[in-house]
Amino acid sequence: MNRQQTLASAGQIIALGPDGHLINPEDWSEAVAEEMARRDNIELCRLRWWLVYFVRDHYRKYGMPPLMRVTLQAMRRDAGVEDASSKTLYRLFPEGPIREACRYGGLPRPESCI
Amino acid sequence: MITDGLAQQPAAPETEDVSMADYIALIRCKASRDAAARLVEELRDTARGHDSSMVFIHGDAVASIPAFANAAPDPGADWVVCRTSLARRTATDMLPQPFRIATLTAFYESVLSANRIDSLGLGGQLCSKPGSAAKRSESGPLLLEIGFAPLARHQHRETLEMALGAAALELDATVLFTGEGLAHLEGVAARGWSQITDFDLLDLHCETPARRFAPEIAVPTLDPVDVARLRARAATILIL
Repeated sequence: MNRQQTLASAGQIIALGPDGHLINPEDWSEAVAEEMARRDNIELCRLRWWLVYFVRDHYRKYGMPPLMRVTLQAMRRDAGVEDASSKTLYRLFPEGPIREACRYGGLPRPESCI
Repeated sequence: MITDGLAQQPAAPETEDVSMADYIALIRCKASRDAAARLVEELRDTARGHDSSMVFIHGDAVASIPAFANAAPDPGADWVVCRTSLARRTATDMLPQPFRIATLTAFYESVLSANRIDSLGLGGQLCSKPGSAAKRSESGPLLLEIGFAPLARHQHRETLEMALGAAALELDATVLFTGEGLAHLEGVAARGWSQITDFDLLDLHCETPARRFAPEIAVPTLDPVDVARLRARAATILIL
């Protein structure tokens, strides 16, 4: 995917890496995520926001993004999606739910191949 | 970093194909040129007794790829390099023949169908324990043994990823920390391991420590008898 190398949000110019992730995670805000979504022509609905915040919280606590298995467990328990499956996650972010949630959440691209 | 020996190689194919290998060797430690040559020879001998074989190169062992390549690795075996381990150590995806790139997930999917799995852990310890060399039952439990303290951030992270890979596929796996391996549970870096207990992903145990250590997360301690029982119960033991 061809993404611009900068992003304008709330009067700030935010630098993006070649993979579209923020260069500086401290630049993240909900407005930055909304601007990314506007460019990608998607809406950050309630479940997408839930996923973005879940991945951010997991990253802060454990130093890495969650496994898909963990995300589904939490989604069933906390997000009211009792039948959540990997299809549910891929419908939210078809290009890779955890990786995209990291990008929208201002986190680095996941480095693991799990 | 990986040596210049890879610089002139063509890009290695990356496939997610699961290798249905009858025999699997997991190599996680860096080997000298001589050690790599001996290992290649031993792997060739072992593979002769099996229909198909796979060698999975993970973590620090990636640095030994040129040494393995020089030792004329058996082209009949599937030589697989962990994509993330390679990416962490070099900007190139160029590898000599017959190496290819795949994920840790693909490794564990192969584990499910293998009859024999040997492992050479980070500390250079080769697993030859009863159970691993025997015919595995498909549903037999997997024991991941960690007895080596991480000397660098990559070693810590990649050992954790070995456990998370088993958790991701919901394998019947247990992690056992022994000796200096308990160092993985100390300090800030231990927080990555706590997701395993917080989300009940795998069973974690530690052998009664020989020295005082201060784990960041609570892990049940096993005495030598229980450790022996755990090893005996395992269909496969991977020394990490």
